[in-house]
Amino acid sequence: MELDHGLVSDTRTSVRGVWGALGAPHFSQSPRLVSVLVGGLAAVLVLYPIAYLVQASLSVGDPQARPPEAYGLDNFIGLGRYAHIFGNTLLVAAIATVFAVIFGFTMGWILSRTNVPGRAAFEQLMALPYYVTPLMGALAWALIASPNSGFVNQIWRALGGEGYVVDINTPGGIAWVMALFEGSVAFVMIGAVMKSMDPAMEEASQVLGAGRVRTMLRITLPLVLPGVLGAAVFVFAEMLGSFSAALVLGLPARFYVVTTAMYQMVSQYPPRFPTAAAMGVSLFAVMFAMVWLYRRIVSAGTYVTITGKAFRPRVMDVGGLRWPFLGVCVAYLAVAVILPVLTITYASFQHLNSAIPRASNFTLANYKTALSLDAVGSALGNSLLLGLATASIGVLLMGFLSWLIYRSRLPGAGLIEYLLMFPQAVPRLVFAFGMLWAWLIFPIPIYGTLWLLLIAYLTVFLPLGLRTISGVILQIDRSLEESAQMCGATWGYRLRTVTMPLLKPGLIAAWLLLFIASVRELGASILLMGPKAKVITPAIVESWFSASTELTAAMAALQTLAVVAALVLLFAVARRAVQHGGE
Amino acid sequence: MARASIEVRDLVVRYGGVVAVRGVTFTVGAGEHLTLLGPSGCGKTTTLRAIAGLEKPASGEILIGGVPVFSPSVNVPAERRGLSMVFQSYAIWPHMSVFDNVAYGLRVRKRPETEVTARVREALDLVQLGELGTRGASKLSGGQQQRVALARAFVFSPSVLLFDEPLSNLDAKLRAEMRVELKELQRRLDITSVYVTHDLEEALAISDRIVVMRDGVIEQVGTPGEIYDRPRNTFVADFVGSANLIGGRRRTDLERDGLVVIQTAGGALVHGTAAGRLAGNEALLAVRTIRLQLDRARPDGAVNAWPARIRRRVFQGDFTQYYVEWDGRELIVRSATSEPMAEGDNVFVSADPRFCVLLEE
Repeated sequence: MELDHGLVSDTRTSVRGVWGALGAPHFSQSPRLVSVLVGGLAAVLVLYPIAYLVQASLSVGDPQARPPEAYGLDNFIGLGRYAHIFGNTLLVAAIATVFAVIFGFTMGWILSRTNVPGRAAFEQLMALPYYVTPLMGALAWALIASPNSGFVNQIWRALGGEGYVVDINTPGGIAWVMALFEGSVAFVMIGAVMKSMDPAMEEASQVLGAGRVRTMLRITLPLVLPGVLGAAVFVFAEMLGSFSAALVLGLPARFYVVTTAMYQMVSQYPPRFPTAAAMGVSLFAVMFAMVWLYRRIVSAGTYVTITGKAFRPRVMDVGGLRWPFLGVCVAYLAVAVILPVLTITYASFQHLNSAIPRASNFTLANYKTALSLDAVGSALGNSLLLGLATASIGVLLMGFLSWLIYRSRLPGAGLIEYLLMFPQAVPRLVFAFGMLWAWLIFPIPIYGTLWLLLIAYLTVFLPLGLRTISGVILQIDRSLEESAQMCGATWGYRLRTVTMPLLKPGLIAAWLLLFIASVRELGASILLMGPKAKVITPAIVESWFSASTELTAAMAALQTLAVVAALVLLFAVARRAVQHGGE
Repeated sequence: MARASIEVRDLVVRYGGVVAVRGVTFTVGAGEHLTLLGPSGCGKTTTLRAIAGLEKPASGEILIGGVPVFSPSVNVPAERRGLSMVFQSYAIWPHMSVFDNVAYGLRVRKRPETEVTARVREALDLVQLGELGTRGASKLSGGQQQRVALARAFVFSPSVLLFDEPLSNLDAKLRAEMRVELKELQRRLDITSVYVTHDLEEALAISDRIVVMRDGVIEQVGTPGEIYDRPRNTFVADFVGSANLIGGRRRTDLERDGLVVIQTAGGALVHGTAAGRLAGNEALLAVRTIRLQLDRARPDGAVNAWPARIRRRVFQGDFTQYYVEWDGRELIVRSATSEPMAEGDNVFVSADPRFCVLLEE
């Protein structure tokens, strides 16, 4: 115990020398410099492409000229000719939002407020629709309900009907596929609001003599309304920028939304960059306003229900209605997950897509073809490689950024956060358009290589990674790190023994999300991938429009299988590493 | 064991545009137990965190054991100040066992594992958790977490122990128990401590000296007895327990034996002590509710006994609180006698001039 005596006097000599000069992990000496550096990095990643997007939209000279010969607002004025495309976009987004919110609200209410059987399990399963991306959903629903070859219409004609009964290649069809996907997003948001509501507020209403219906209308609904409205605005904004479902389902019927029209203008010959850029800027402006509105609604309204007191959400005994409610839950998961997955799998094993199974029609040929195609093999390999790189670099980068923003008390942290969350308000395709222009003239030739895609993924997934990791960082009370500091632990020691172990679940979750999102990314990849550096999702879309549907189904199944296999493998490796490395 | 004194000079701490601590100066002697007392937002926790090194002051100086740990040219990081701290939230690491939590400070200092084991055992025994070592830390009750936090804070023999409202998350009964245990522990460890609380009883029970703070400045420094019976101003009189304030005109013509005499608006003469403070023509006296006495007959003694009437009576267990009509106003009197007065009774209320204290205004 005598040894401890030296602690205080030790500091006298070392303090001025080492800590005074470096001040390193505290940034006490040069916090402004660090802010500027980090802010600069964020600006390069996020604002550099946006700046080029805006520049392109203002170019009124030769559309192919770089840099622009003249500037003006002609491109924006000329957008009047495309009013119907903006109308289409709003129509699809509005229908899809209504359905998604209905799905999310219904599921949220059933799963958080009623005693439906198997609630806990269903709550977990509600994440699944999100993992069945809009592209998978669109491909599957095209197989199920396209007017000519869709399974439903095949059966209708086999039963003696004429023409078709359902048509997925319509605004309603696109909205349907999107709503099934966004329904799980709306569920998460609305379910959280319903759970955070103190049941005492409803109980107070009942004690004062109001019946169940009156309580629901006068108390419950007004309290959850800001949350529902917030979810609606958020989903609507996402929908405005959605791309893949509109591409797969809209193109055959020549039905365009803003993103697909932009894609068409950029990929046709000669490309019409300035008009596409003007469209992108317009869409971005609207989405930015929506995201701003969303933040306002969320910060203004929902605080009412959050009391900070621990309580259990009151579960209502709905008696015999439990079983119909269970049916609703099963039905949603069936159309959003089970049906699409089964359809894709079924189609991938067929010679010719047919609703009526015949033994002679089954084959493994699609898989053989898909695997023998060099494009598919290398594209899948590239995608997995990019996924690994994006997830690994992303977790480090975004972990560091989250820590800087939420823990280091850096001056201007709020502004940096705002910058980094920016890509959330920009459709990935629009963002990729800006990057296309930005990096084409970059002195290091990365255009057409996987490097460009890596940068693109790291940028567009910044909000996803930051939100996941910061969610965990904010849950860890600052005093957990401070108490380690008070025990005498240095910065590195604290990081190793306290911060990292506590962050581990969040970092693993972020890694997985980034990996899955990267491997299945479409909007940015389709514009940025080069002919010699293909990735899998755009290859699937290419195959859908130029090769057979059965082959496409096989490719989609292979992609999903590859993601699952990669994850299983990684988990096995990680577990072995932990077992060997641990004590 | 190491004991260090602490000196805080002209400490100023800013949060953005807000000045949380505005020029605070005090010292803590080696082995002394000092408490920073005040309402929330008074800057007491910020001051403590500045001493710990968790908050960077805007200006001022902090010396520990005579060595500057913060000054315009020095800022020793928290981990090198040789202090320890018990947090309000306990800050028990959920991913470690109780033993590993407590052993942390020793392992940071690279002690041999045999010594770590012995000292952690000793510390856990001292906080009466001897049998819990292998348990996961997340499965503990609030009181147990509190004890683990304590053991973790003193196991590596720091020179100073800082407490940031350590008992505020416990229920009233446990809080009263822990107060006694903490006092006992302080005595056994023989260590310098700085304690932050907004709870008067806690402060009175465990401190050698109390610093009362408000809005980032010190209102009064003194022993628990001084703070309780000789509040310096209305804020301290009001914050530190319940007091009756009696104002009036000075009657210097009646003053003798070092007493202050005032005459209230209602005409009553009140004798009080100046406690070394200067009084103007108008003066304000404070008297604790417990220091007022109720009697059915006029008590002996020449001064400070007045007729009054019981307006309302509230039984509160340990004492009875009377609302008494006196001199055209209301006085609050706490009385622990077993023979209660009834509402409407005519009584005499009296006070020893020693407990009628002149306030600074």
